[in-house]
Amino acid sequence: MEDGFDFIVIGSGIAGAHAAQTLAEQGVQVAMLDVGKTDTHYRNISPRNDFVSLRRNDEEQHHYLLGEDAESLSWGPTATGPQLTPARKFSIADVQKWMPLESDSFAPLESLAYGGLGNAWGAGSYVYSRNELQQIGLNVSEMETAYQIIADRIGISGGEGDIRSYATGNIRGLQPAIKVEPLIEAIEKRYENQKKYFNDHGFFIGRPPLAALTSPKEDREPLEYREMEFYDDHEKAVYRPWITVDKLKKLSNFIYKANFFVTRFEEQNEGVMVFGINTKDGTPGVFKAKKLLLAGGVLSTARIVLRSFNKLNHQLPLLCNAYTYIPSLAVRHWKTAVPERRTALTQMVLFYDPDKTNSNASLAAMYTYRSLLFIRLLKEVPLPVGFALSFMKNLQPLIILSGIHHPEQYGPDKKIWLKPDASQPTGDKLHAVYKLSDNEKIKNQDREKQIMKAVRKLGCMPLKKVDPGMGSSLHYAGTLPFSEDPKPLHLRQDGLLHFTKRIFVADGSGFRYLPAKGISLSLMANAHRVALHSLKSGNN
Amino acid sequence: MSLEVVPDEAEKLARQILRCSIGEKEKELYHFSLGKKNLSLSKKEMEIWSLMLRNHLVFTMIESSIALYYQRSPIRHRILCMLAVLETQPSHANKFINKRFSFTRFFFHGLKAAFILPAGIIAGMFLKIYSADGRRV
Repeated sequence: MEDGFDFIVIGSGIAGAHAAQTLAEQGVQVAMLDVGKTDTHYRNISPRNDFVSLRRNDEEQHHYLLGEDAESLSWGPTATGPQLTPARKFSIADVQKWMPLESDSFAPLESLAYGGLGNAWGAGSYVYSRNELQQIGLNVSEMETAYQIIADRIGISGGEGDIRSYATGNIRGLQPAIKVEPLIEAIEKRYENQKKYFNDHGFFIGRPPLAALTSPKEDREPLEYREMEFYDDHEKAVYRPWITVDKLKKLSNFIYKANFFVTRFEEQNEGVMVFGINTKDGTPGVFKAKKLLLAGGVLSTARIVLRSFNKLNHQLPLLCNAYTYIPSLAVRHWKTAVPERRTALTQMVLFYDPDKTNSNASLAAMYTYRSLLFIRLLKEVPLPVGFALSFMKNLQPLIILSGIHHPEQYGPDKKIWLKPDASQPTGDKLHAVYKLSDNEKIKNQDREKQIMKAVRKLGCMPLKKVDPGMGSSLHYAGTLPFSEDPKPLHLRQDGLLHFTKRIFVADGSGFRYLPAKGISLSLMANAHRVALHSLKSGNN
Repeated sequence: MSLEVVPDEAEKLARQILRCSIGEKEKELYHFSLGKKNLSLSKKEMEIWSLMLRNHLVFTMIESSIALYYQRSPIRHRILCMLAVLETQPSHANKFINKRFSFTRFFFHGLKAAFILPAGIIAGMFLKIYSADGRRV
């Protein structure tokens, strides 16, 4: 057994990294337990050059574009996992082995990687509004303070102008927004010319807030517009949680324990025992600390908590943003040329807030398409491949993808539970069902129609709606809801698991409502907030 | 089912899709990808595939039909496989990268589609008859 820690933090992703940083900064002894899969092959294998130059010159590009095992070739229905580039596939390695999930209506992405799903994150960094925070059950002033602290840590650019209140709220010190290509500038101009119409109908458009630097910060360099954000991290312009954990490893009061899969905990008078399995040799292991922070992701935390309280077959609620995407052609802007260098990240964001209360807006993140292989588009086109290529290549400069997220409330068919399964390493398997009610489907479809109308008014022609299925938004929350009244499997507002004294949950498990905006910044802010509370609470 | 290939399959396929010739590297990558993705064909599929690779008109018609009716066909996947290999070679990069939209090209694509789609529908009728014993295409 390894002992002597003040705090154990589970997970090295978005939430774990910032919970650990907050604790370590206070001088307490922190152990981070993590499986920590890393990519030892693709990491920065691509030369530090822009996508177009690499395509024209690099004879070895098939290694990282196609993949050493032809990973880029996937034939199944459009879903999120297969969309990962070879360089990011390690993010989901071994998940089926250690965190199996069975469902015919819910296909989430989970990660055991060093840095978690943050490795494949699109960098969208949105604050939740006062109304949204209240619906979630979070303390508004604590979160507003936390947002600023996190923004100072990771660096955020953009999110100003018309979308300020939706995107970045009161955050100060924002870096200038990313440069966008001529096509996006042309669309922005069209928005400006018809702004009254758009705003009157509840549409607010601007350059998105991104955890991507446009000015240097510490040892991280600004975006080089190489369009390789989904392949490498040469300049570390896009924030990834492993950047934080790498820094923490240099501190004497922080220990990182890799290859350890946590299965359950046991609270005792003087501390918490954390049990798990060494993922390399399968041997069991135990760690002990005064307090525990669960931050491995909502589904992972749910498994650990259910096991620890022996609540197999007990159902927990679940929230997951519905997500669809709509490819469009910017037909009115056909004269604009594509630059050699640009970003692959979101270049424009549209908020649809029909009642203008900033409490349940839908969001469309818009980006152009080039740096993922053409084959990913062509396999969806019902035309002979050679002709489809020629046809789509001509249209390529006009292609805009709009990824639409909708806000989410609890429902009777949105739940998970852990069932015994002796064939699994943990002896159990998570099951899930996630279905929207008819009313929710109608509401979302109506909103999508309105968003498509707005897209048309911006000079683009929507082609079709692609539904990758529930779970593809990568936003999960609400399994252990915040509750002022003590209830089993619920959290106090400070993150403490009710009926415990030393177990805190620092990921999104407590969120009682899930706004459409990206959850990542709020996860980081909440993790920081919970870590601070855990320092104050009870005996350290 | 076997991971059989037609003699000189890679070269013939590259010529059919993009009217280009390929070197040893592309051939190896193609065969490697076929193996990794286990793109085996049934006996009937092999017969259709061999026929396709012999004649450009037949290739175009059958491929149109597969694109319309059998998008998950392993034959189509083999074609996409070769396309992915070609896409990741510098010598073919310009076939996949475009800076500007052209109305003229769009117009000619429209004209071409007017021939391709009916050809695909006709070929589809024959494929349906050919695979009437229930085996997949």
